[in-house]
Amino acid sequence: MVLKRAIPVMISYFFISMAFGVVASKLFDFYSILMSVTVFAGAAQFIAVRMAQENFSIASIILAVLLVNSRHILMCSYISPLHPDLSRFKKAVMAFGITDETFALGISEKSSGSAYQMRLNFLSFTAWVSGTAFGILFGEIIPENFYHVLPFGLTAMFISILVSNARGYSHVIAAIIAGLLSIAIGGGMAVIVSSLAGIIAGSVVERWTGE
Amino acid sequence: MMLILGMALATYFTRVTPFFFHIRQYRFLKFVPASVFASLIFPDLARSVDNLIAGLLVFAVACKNRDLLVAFLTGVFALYLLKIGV
Repeated sequence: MVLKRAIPVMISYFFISMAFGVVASKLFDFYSILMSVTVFAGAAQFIAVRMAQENFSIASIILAVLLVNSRHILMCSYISPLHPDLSRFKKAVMAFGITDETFALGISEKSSGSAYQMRLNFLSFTAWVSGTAFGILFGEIIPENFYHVLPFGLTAMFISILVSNARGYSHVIAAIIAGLLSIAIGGGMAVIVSSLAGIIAGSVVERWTGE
Repeated sequence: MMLILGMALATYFTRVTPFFFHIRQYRFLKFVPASVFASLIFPDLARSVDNLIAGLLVFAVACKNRDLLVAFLTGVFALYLLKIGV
């Protein structure tokens, strides 16, 4: 069951991280795999490669990564109260595996327990790391077109979750405000800033309409 | 190596902090999924006309069918067909 749900993400992760392995290995060589193992965050890893190509300082790359990933704070704040009975160790393990996609899968299954989230995280992580390894070793064999189309499958998944999640005016307003603002801002900071704006907008509308 | 270590710590910090602060089920947190996903979706749809059309198609399908795999396949195939010019 978990595997069936995780398959689209696993396939996407495998090929996206393969693309990462191809470009990253030119800069970091075999350390690229270490990055996928310890960081496990697609957007951040691609940004790091891009900035490293442009010879940005290590400190500025790390700062950019922190800002791009600050959206995890929101997602983990949402997820953490759903799993109140976890031990400290399991919390620490679960936290490591929360990405946009594992968050999406985890909250889309209403009755999902902690074990479900843990397995999702683990399967996605496995796909991410093995994809990177493949990319480093023989990534060039995949036609480039493939890399462009596949990530859109993840966006499509997010659309489906948004449709089932947006109940009532306040949610719809939150989504529209956040989405439009995200386009307007652009760049690595967009998601966290626009999400916060969406959350505020949703809360305000909820108070007005007394939903 | 320093870069990778720093990135790993920065990323883990954003993930683990909320798990170790006592977070109640604040009312505003229920808007997190809609806001975060919209923020991720909209810029991808604004990328090109093909993306927008494929996104609207996925939206229509998602209103009828909530299966994530269906949405995923619809998105990938729709965008692929649009890109090769069907």
